[in-house]
Amino acid sequence: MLYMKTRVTFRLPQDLADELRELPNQTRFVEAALREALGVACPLCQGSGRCQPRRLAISNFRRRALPALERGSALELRRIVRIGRELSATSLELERSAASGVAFVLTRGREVLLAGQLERSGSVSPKNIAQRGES
Amino acid sequence: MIFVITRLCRDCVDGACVEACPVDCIVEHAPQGRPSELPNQLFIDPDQCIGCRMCEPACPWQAIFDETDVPFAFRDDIELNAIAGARPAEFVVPEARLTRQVSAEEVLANRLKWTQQRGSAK
Repeated sequence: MLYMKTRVTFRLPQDLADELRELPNQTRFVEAALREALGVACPLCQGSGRCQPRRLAISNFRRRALPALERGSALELRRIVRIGRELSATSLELERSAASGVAFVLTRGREVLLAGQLERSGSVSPKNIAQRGES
Repeated sequence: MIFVITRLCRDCVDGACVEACPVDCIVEHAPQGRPSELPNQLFIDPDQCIGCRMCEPACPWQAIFDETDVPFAFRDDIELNAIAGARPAEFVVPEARLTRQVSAEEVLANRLKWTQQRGSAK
């Protein structure tokens, strides 16, 4: 239904213009490329171009009855907190794990960014680094 | 609020607790365009503190207390720390500072000094 669409004129470098003219269906190609480019919105700003400052809520050790951290695991927790703030994460859930360590889940909204275990030695065992959620 | 930095920190302002805190909730008052009206000490932002207890043993001056264990002479400092949560834009995480070894005598003398000042102010 080409007659229902709006005509747009734009300038291109000669080589790109030549390649575009060689395509059998230029309109459909440009439309698909535009939709794809516009459809990948930044997950931090949702395409607005401006990020609102978000506060990272972190589980409270006392309320969760979490074990005391050792120096190494505290440093790992600090790294995870800083990563979370850089990624505009909204929540860092901490829970006591079976091996008297601390398990963590870093999320932004419903999207899980990182999950794993703070080991006593200070190393992190990441369970997964989730891809961007579909929902 | 979980942990509180008391006046025992004043003018010593060791940075060991800043290094120990995993969530960067230990801050100093640095308002834009005017000098600080608060005492020269560090504060714990009560809204950010997760109660992990890493800062308490790190302070060489033994200036950090669980909120429920703050000595009576320093109870006013709980409100001072609360300012960091109420006006977060005026507070920054300080740069790491050089720390020094402190003797038990110095810790005791510092505690005595601030306890006596509190007493004489009344």
